[in-house]
Amino acid sequence: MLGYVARRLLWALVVLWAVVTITFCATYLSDIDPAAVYAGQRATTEQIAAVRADFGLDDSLLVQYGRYLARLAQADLGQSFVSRDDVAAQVVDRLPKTAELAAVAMLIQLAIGVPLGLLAALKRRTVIDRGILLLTLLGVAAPAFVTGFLLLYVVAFRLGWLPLGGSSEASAVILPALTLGAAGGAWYARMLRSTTLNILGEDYIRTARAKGLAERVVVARHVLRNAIGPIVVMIGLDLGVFLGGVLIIEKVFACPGIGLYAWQAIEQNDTPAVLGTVLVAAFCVTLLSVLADVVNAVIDPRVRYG
Amino acid sequence: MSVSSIAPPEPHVLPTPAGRERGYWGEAGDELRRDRAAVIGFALVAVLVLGAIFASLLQPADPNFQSADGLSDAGDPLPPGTDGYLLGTDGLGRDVFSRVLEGARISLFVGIAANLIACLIGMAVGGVAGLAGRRLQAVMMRAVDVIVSFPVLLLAITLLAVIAEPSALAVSVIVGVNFGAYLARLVFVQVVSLRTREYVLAARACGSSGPFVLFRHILPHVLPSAIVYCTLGAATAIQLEAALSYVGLGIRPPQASWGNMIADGQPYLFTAPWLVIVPGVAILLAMVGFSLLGDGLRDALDPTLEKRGIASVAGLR
Amino acid sequence: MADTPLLDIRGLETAIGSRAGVVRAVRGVSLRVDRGETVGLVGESGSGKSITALSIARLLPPAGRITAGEVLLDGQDVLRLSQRALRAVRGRRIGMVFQDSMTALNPLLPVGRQLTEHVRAHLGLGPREATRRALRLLDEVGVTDGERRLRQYPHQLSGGLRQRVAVAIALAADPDLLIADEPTTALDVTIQAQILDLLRREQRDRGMGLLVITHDLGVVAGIADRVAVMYAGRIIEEGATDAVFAEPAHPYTLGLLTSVPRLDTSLDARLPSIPGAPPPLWALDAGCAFRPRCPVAIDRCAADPPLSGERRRVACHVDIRATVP
Repeated sequence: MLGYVARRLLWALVVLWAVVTITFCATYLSDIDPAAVYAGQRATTEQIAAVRADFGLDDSLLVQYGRYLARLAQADLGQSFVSRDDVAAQVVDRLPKTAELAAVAMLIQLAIGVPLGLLAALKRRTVIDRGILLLTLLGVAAPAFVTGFLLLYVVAFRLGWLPLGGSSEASAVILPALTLGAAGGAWYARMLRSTTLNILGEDYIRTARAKGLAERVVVARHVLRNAIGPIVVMIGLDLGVFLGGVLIIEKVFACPGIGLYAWQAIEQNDTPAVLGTVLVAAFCVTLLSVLADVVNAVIDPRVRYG
Repeated sequence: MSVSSIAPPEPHVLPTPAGRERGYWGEAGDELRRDRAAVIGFALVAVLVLGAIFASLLQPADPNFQSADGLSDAGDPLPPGTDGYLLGTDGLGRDVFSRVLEGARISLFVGIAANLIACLIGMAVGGVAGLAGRRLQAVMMRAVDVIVSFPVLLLAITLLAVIAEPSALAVSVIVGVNFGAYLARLVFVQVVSLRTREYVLAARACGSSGPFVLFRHILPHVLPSAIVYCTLGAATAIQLEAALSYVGLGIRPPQASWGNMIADGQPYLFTAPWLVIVPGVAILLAMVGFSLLGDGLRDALDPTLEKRGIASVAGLR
Repeated sequence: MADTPLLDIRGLETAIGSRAGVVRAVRGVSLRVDRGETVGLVGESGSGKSITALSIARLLPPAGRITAGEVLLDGQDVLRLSQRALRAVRGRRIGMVFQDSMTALNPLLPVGRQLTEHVRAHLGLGPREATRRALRLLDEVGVTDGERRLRQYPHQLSGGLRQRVAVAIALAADPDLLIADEPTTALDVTIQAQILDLLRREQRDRGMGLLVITHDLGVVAGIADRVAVMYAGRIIEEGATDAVFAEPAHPYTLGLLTSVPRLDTSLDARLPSIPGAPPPLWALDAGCAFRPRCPVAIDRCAADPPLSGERRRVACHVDIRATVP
């Protein structure tokens, strides 16, 4: 078990290194001259050149790379081109808001997805199953931001039940979380339905029934237990999709998290801010996905014993 | 007495069900046609494709043509149906219907291009890795795993943020490479399991070379799942393109994309909701279409489903 | 004739829905198994033997339906039982061993759990009692180091060990009838022999009825007191194993027996086989299903031959025993 965790962590480090390197290469090869953006729109050529020298942008690739890695190791994500603020500090400041949104959304997602998925599989080919399939198709096919706008328009504007956005009240997190959660929940329901159907066709379910166990025992002990593994893995993978979706949702609902920060940075060509956010997001995703894999190893002995 | 001492009877030709021999693709086609949901999906996709191909013919106006005629006296966008504007106009007086058709071209392009790239990369990498020796295999699949571990939206943001003028092609390539990595894993697993099948060994024993074996014997078996994956992938690609354009990293205005139309329309959400609704519904329909078609293809092409024949039911597997 | 048989299947008909239509996989099967007796049900793939076995405990896949017949267990018709009563029968009065022990066991549960869960449900045993019983069972089936094995997972056991565990699970609640569906097909020949010995011993010690489903005539010869041969969903011959093997009455049975390679035939001789293939079950012609491949078919065979006889039964218009030189 420990061996598995160690290997998994090592692999996570490799992935993070790859992410960092890709990010660096992207910056290095980009057409956007960071010095020009930093110096501002009315800078002269000399000023830009000075900025380049300041930041060591004329040094060789490897030197810049090394510097980059060194700074990252110290959790220094650079300074925003626009506001000169420390990117790392800015991101950390906004992280809790996004985390809150993600957590609530994940809860909604599981609360919707797991029961619906199980129900659809157990009641296969009945009206319930078809109904759930239709509902989830819409949920899956509708991009999060379309649903978001719909909810915003109908619930917040027309009906006035919930605030339009921002973060002033606690209830402001409901609509965005619901948007994310509904789409994700639909996806989970479908995946779980598919997984459960596969499990129901397995021989060991037949063995369990042949033993004369009550159906609810068969479901609880045999079906669920085997379905949870894929769910955990899905959660791990989904978090990446989440963090991307969060960006959109935060923009739609004006939620001041790292997503909105990234969007503003994109608008302003503030490369360090964009990349800093992406790196933090990647870090979170990798960490959480390692966690998901470890949980899966606890549940599934085949994983940890190889 | 033994059986062999008696003259054997005439060989009995077995009747095939429904009286016709259709083969794998024929049967799959039949099943697909019977699947109502898949037919609906196909219809939606067909509408999208036709709309995109014949966009220039169907557009009543230049999608980028800004005009004061397209605005009300107060300078507001016109609602659908006024003055012959089928779906209304936007904040700059441009015809929404024309822009939606334009957006359809972008979405279709990205949907197809990205998945074509994904298909090529996936089958090539997965196939080669599947047949390769252990070390090459390990290296290739590790590289694939790195790409897969990285969420596509974040990857796209990273790469697009540093390109000054992203094009539909750039988006397609980025999405395509990411999808290709996923598909490579899928193909890899299948190829590895097929590699030890008897007919592959037989082909190699006859002296067939590696690439020949790959193309002639293995890839045809991998093709169905690749097709399903890429069809469903079209839905995802369209959504990704819309998301990226919405955020400002994909297609930039004035070029119309469903995503950036929503972004442009957002300030008018409460006064002119059609500006957000129309492209939103377009995205929805396109995604539903590809999803239904993809699901239908999966049901038709996947030989392991219960519906397919009695072999699995009789315990023959 | 003995008192009520343990298992009395009468006119069982089972259909499976498929894309090709409704397939009548079992077309009127009648079979008896008494206590203390081992019956072998033999046939090729697709003959309907596995479906027959699954029908007994109503374990058919979702597309399967029993359309006619009775399955009497000590006189009580299993097919008419309520779900609740059926659950009381499964595991407790009928135990089943399946072919592939790897897929028949839940990969996420320790072996011990899978041994005890139904015992506890049926017999109301507490955890410690159940564990003791499990250990006894493992010992009985020849699994050493029981304490350790109980904690292990199915994938950590070898094929032979797993199948022993599967047998132990089937026996755990002391059933009266044990059904083994291809219990040795997935195993090495040496392990096969061990499992067959195990089954025979258990059957004898516990006085159970044992129904073994197999396509392997060698298995039947080694373990069965009586054998029933199935073809295209019907039993076409039945009798004491020795009698049937020595003097088969149905041409199909003869064909099966002669196609088994023998040690004393010349290496150059061609292996005899039955020409043709079993008919597709969705498109059966009227009359004897074996007719297209039968070397001794006569005009009368256009009408389906009934299964006639008492202990020794044959479904054939031509009794080939009469023609033996």
